[in-house]
Amino acid sequence: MASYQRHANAEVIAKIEAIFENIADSLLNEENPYVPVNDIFIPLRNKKHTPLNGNAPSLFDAEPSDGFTNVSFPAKGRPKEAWRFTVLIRILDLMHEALCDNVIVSKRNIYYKDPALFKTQLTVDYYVDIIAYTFGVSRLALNVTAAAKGLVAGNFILKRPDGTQAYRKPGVPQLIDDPHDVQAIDISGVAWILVIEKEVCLWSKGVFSADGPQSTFRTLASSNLQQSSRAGNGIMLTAKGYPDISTRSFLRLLSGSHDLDSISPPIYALTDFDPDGLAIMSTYKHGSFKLSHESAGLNVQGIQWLGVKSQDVLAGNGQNEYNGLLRLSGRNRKKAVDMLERSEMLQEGSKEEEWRRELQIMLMLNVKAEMEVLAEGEGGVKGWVEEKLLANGTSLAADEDLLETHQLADITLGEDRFPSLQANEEDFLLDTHGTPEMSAVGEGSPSLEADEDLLDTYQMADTAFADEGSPISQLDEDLLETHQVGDMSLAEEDSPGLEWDEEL
Amino acid sequence: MSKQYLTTHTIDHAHPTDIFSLSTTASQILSSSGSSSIRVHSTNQPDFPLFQTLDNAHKLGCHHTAISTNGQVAASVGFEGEVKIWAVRDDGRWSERTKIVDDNKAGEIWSIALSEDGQYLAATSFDGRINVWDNLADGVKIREFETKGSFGMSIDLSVNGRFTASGHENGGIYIFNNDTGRLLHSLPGLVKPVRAVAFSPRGTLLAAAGDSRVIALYDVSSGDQVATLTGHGAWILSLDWSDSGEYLLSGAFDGKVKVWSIEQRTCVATHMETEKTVWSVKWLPKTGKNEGFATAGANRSISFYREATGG
Repeated sequence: MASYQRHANAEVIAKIEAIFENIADSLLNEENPYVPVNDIFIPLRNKKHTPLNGNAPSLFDAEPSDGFTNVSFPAKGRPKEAWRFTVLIRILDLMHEALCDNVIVSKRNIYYKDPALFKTQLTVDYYVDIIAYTFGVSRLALNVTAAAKGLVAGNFILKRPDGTQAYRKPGVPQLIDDPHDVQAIDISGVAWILVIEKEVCLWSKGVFSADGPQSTFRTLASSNLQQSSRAGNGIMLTAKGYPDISTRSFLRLLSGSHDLDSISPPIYALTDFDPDGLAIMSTYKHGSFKLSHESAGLNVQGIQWLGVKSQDVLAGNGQNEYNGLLRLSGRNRKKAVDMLERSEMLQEGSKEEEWRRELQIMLMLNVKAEMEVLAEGEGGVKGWVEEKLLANGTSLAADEDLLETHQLADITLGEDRFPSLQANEEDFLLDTHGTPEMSAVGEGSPSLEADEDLLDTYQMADTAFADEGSPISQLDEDLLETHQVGDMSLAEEDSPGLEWDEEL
Repeated sequence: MSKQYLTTHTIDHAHPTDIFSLSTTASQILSSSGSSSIRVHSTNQPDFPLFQTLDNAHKLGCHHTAISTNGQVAASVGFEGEVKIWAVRDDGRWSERTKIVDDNKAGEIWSIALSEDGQYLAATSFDGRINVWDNLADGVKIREFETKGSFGMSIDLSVNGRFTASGHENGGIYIFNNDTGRLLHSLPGLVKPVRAVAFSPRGTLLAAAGDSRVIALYDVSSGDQVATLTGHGAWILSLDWSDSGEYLLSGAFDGKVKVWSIEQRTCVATHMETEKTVWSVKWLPKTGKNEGFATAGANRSISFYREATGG
């Protein structure tokens, strides 16, 4: 928790509170006959050019003064202004809450707080920008992001509120769907869910693969861990750092998506061995540090820590060279102490005593390690994760259906590597064949282009897939190829909201 | 010639979590851990009973403790960066006397050492400074030594109070003259983090060890490295000299504890309770002719060893 960012927030919070105080003062003065009525307003800075198209509500019918436009309440003869006033109050209130709770919300989140009031997403987009402009800060300083930043890959089917179903290619990371656009998620056949701390990480030791810097999430996704693991099929998810509300909501949805008569697949977290890694996992599990009652409903208490733990990186160390061990920075140490001091979960005798110990060990030895160190092991990151999943009891044997399927596949192929056959494949083929949803969601998604590239290759793969007679192995090869293509193009994408990897 | 030590007693689960530090007086052993309390066990009774618990000493856990050679003053430092000075009463019970918080926010008090009479406390900081406080004068800072800014991981004061030695993360080892306040030696380092430094009882030798897995012995007056003790296979986290200066005790990350003969410059005994990290090792007062020591670490227990008789 870097202090300078807290200060930055405090400034914005103060600005919002000043507006509310002004309104409150005006309300109190209402009984004072000497103060003219119609004094309740929110000042907005005028923009030189209207940045939006005709649909957007215009502010410029109000009287400008000193470069500001006042949105007043009540506004005689201007009925739309009352609505505008309400919209602004609502957005400012939500921003204030997000800032105080140190959570990041997307414009979409704000819209869904009150769709009846906002009417369209555009309203929110417009006023968020205007408020940022008025305060002279970036939108990000208001803890508002443009879109979801999380990625997900794996075997699940989304059920939309309008009754349609969307099947996501399990092999390709997709932007996380806005939870409001999802009614339910079919995760039958999923044996595990893995939350990965980050997508992109420049690896200091140089080449992780021949392609240069690689990300753990994409490495695992392209190695097809979620489909070809000995630990069964799974779902992988990342928020690229500290999770936003959408990613947390989505994980929360996933965690409750199992059939009523079965138990939820285990949910694991794979993080760096450093204070931020633990803080990120803690955000998924317990919410942000300042306990936010609002987001408590997004907590996923069942998360188990898969690694990277001190034992994973230190076992061989203390003996040989520093296999990927790094020194803590001053900021890391402050963060660790801050967490020990402030997090309820890390107090003596509290829920996360293991985390408390791990932070203390980091401080004692002054070491940390990134999850990329796992790549040095024999089976790479994938092998390591697989071992851990199996060791944690996520085994094929637990799911008889899967076992059968895999045996079948084994016989057919006579290969060691399991193809991406899953129990409910036929179901989703039927459901999605007519309307395959290919493109990623989210406006302005930077991976849209890449997804379009993928479209072609996937349609090819799909054709092969739909053809009942086509041998599975061929399909697998097709998929493999497309993954490689997909990965190369996707790797170029700038991950949105990277600056927000720091919890405020 | 090797020596044999036998486990005489183990205090199982002396703390609920890793024990990071041990300190001893003539009749007591103080232990601190990742939990908030410091425990005091009696060492002059065969079953090492719990004598006192200093509750809520350090809320975030306590990583280092120290006791003055005269046994009258103890100091403890917690992960929050605060030092507490404890004084012993006539009945042997400890009570808090003062607190010391480094006024420089950029720093973080880490390793600590007390002078023979407990009047002076020396401590390292994360940014490489070494500070000395006067406990009698309400914790006034009286000296501040600057180093190159590398994390000061270990510190010791010579028994005669003349020298301060510090070990740093970058491998640097410094000896300061406390009388003049000047740097006496910048020792040819161990390159890797130095996690333990200890003056011999007469103050003539300095032992230093850490991630290089060797123990270097330096002549304090000349600054020359006079010996290198090899044998540990893992990071060395703790060192302690026997009262006579004949033996050096060391504990390592892999759970191994070694006794070194200074005269022979060799390891004379190796012990291992578990493979779990040994964070701290300390000699115990002699009973009769036999030396004994205590070890503690990640297994949360305190083990007591005594030299085997006969032989």
